[in-house]
Amino acid sequence: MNIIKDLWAKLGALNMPDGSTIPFWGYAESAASLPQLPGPKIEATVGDTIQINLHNTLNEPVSIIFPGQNVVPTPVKDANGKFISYTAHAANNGDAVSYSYTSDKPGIFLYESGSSSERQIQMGMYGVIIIRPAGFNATDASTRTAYGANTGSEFDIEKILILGEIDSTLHSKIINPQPDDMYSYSPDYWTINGRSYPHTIAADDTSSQPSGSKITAGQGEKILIRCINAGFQHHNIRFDNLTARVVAVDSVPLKSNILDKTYQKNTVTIASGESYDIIITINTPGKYIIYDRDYNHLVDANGLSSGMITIIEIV
Amino acid sequence: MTQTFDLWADSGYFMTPKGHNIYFWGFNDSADVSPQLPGPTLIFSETNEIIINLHNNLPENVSLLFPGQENVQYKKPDDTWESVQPQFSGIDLISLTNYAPPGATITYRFTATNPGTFLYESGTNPQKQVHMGLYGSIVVRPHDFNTVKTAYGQNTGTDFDREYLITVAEIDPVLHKSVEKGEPYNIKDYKPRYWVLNGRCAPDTMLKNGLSSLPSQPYSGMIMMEPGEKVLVRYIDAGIENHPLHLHANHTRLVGLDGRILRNGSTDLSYKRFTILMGSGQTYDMIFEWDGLGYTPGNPIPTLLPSIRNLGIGEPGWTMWSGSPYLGEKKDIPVGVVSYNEMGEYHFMLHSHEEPQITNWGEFPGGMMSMLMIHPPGTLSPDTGVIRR
Repeated sequence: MNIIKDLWAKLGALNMPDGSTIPFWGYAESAASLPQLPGPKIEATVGDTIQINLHNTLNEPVSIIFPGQNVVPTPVKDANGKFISYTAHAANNGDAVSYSYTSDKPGIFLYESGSSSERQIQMGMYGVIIIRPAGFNATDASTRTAYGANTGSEFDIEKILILGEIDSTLHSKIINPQPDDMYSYSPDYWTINGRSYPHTIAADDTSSQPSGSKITAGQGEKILIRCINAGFQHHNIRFDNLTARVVAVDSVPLKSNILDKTYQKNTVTIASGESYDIIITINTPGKYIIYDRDYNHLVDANGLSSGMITIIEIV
Repeated sequence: MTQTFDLWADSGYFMTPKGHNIYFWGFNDSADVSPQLPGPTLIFSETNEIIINLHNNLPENVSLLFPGQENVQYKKPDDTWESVQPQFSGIDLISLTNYAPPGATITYRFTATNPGTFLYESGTNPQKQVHMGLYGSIVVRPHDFNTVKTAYGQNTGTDFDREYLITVAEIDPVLHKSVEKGEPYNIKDYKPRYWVLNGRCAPDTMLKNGLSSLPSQPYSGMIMMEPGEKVLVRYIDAGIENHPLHLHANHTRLVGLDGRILRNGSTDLSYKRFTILMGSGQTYDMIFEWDGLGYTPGNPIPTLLPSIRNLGIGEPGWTMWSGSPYLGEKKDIPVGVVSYNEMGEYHFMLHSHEEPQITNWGEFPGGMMSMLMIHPPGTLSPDTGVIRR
């Protein structure tokens, strides 16, 4: 199959639980629609050809890189040999660039800015690509796995948790624009799927932060939690009163026909750019908190309890 | 069987090696004494029912989280039990679990289903209370511990001769001062200046357990062993930052994480590391063996000199040098050098490799650092390397 996705790099605004509005750069699904944080989810199956057309509405070059995917980047340099982008870019407002590749392995992968990445990724230019194993059918329990048969990754419910940080001061400086430098990077908001608690547990919507992260499941259901860190800091994601089983790291499954290297953890350290696929089964009804054990990431700019927190509810 | 524990949450002071008294909140297991840092080590037996009464002598709500334990319950006012739940005020998350208001007691109950190393810590305002010192360590013994000393049970490859608990955290003295003075506490300003190992900053980490001069910090951070022994080292990161800890002298074998053995059925998933990046809120069980310097029981005279780096800390240096490269032998040392080698033992550092953390407010040596001592055979008491309350 051919998956074709158009993305518009655009300026938008984020609404935070303390009432503040923060400008950001994100990817929109059409010229007329709002940019999203994280960018729109791209889903494909192993063997599919993925084509992404990136349209630039910003006043600087934009591009997309695909870490962990079967893509050979072509770096862009200026006339003096100075490095501009990790890969082919849309140089100016109104330009477009296309990327195409064939997905070769299942998993969850970041797509993110390849131009001034240190500025553009923290501005919000990231999203995920989910590659399903061959034969995947979401409505058929026997093929509903993250990594295929015998990988211990069968699931009933799936939730993607994309971790990120926002430095609101740096966002303002970059938009205005004022001189900025990444040495001063000091986030004051911590997000899951672009939202801070309690917005994390609100329903999905059509705003620029469309994805909630609350998980609702029945007793005994297998919950696949796909944590991927689009931020620059590491995060220690704790599953309170639970023991999770790590089934894949950076989209490499830990179980095969001959060897089961999956392991149990209560808290998982997820470094910048890493992904962990985790399965949890819960038999006792109630609410379970997922949060960053780095307690200084449970605050927002005003120091209230907020930030990188979400909830599993077993009904 | 049921094991019952009482913990009091209260305020007190702990001391840094430079004599800086720092206000903290902590636990103790008696109402009559000030709290300790970390809280009392709780030792459970696998399969036992555990009951913990938390008495709150602090001016705000306090609770206990037991990461790695499951099906934790609390006792309701009508004496029935219910699963603990996060506590909300409207949509605000005010506590990760059920809590005791000031002056009150809350009772928790669970079954110690898994052997291993665990943390207990406050689940209420944890960004303040855990950093203030409301945390402690849990060791769950396997059910067959009286038959053979292991971390995870017979035939799990976790046999040991001695064991040590190393619980680390950070201290931001300015934030501690804010709490002492009743001023606003903003974790956004977090800037640690001290890094503690078992509640102490080096060099106090190398002093004995239970010193009267360190009344709130009873736990030594010194690891002592003889050649040929297996030592179980249990690391816990109770801080809110990650810490890369390593023991000089040898690699170490990780056998468990967060109180779960690294083994699936007969498949051994243990692995060797030199430096272990301890993640915030996580635990690491490892079996350490020393086979350095060409030493073997059959060849007790090492054929290699210890590295000079391992013989001293700071000025004037060589303080860990016995004057002889041979284990258990003492010889003349250079004039003006103090030697701390009482038995001609070897010393190797245990420390955070993020080396600003082995200072006390910027001054080296200090912070998250201790020593591993290799003693000559037959010179260590069997009581050394036993984890107690």
